Amino acid sequence: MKASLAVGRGSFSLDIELEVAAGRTLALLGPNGAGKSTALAALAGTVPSSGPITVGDRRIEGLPVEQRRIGMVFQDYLLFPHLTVLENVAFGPRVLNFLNPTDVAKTWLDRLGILDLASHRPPHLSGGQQQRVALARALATEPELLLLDEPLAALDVEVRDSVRSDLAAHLRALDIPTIVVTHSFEDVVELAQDVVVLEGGRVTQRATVRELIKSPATAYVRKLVAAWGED
Amino acid sequence: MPPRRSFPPLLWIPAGVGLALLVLPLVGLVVRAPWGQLPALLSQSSVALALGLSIATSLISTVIALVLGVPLALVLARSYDWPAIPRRLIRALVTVPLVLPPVVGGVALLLLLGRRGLIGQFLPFQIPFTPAAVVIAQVFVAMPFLVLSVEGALRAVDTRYEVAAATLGASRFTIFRRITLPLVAPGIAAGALLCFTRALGEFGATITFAGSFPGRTQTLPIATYLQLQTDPDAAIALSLVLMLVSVVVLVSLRDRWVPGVTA
Repeated sequence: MKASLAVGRGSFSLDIELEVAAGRTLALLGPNGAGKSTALAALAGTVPSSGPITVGDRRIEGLPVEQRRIGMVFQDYLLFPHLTVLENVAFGPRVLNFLNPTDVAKTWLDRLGILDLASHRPPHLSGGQQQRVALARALATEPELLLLDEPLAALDVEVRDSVRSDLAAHLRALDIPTIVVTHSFEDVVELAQDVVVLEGGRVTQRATVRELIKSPATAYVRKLVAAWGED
Repeated sequence: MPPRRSFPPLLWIPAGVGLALLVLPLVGLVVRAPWGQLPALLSQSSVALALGLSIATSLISTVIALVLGVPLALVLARSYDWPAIPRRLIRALVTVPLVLPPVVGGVALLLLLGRRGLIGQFLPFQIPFTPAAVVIAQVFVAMPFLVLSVEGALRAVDTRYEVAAATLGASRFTIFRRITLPLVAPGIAAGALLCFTRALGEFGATITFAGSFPGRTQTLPIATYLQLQTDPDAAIALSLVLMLVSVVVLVSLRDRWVPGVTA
């Protein structure tokens, strides 16, 4: 996946180049308001941007959202409240005319260890369970790129660590490029191999996670690394 | 515990009179009703005809209002990024039948669809004074209730669900059908119920545009009014039927209109 994104929204402007190889996870790290979620929205096509976006061998910048084949896990998951877990996960395969969408959905629920939740409605699930359903729903469409927007921010602190290691295991098993937006350094260390630091709509550092820890380039990253080292 | 809010005791008087004004006429209706003769009165052929016609036309009007009104509500709810003038104009036009005296609506419909009306003069068939005119008058008067109810529900829906559905590959129409509509289903049901009740009670526009032909255009409210001149007991019986429908609607919508009743 390779993208060059330029977004202008009022007084805010975002200019960023992103490159992620299949099977790797890139963390987009930055403080609130840095433009991380805008970058994801531009990739997904929900915010207009200029510049080429190549996923696999397809150019997708001119395509509408529904044709981009990008899986997205939203910060508060946005599971459809009127559908069961199984119907939520089968929604994508069904609208994309996959063969046996229900079976596809069951396979993903099983893979993520939540087949027993199939008949439940999302409002009755815990935050961790909702996150897994959201991941299953995004992956069931066989996306060519997976985007996760602050996937742990909606969870209680007590469960965040266990859900994070669970998510990390699932991401490692994927063979598509993944981008995780986060402002948490714990998320970066556990979920990603590469990092792009975004501050004020501009990239301030681009590195592997190890390099970032060894030589943080800005005060913002130095502070994060120091706080992480103390834990 | 929140502080107890009080008000000047003198205000009990107008408040009580106001409440009495709303309730006493209905009490009068129930007390004066010829309960013993009710089955016989309601089984009179003229009553059965008016009741049947009212229910049939109100159901048809509600279906038409749903087919036309839900898309109109969607246009209104999603017009927030339009320029102010067309946005406000459409909203005002939708609201007009709510504030317009129904009889004026009837006159307006005659001028549009009557034999020499703006559109009516080109039609090869007659609309006024037919059952179709009853339905059109009911849709004109009742559809705004549905549109405003559905619009409110649409505005309350988190549109990010629609974005989520789009990322899963759904087209706009699929999103509308499988995500938006089910999410606003309670609002649509409430709007349809309100619309049906308003259509069932419609009098002014109907009698002006459709007249009062028994079995063809004489609906329950019109029959009630006419019976009052000749057979007051039958008029009371018909009024009770209309009141019963209102009570059923009020009970169905209690959570929407009267929050706290079921709490």
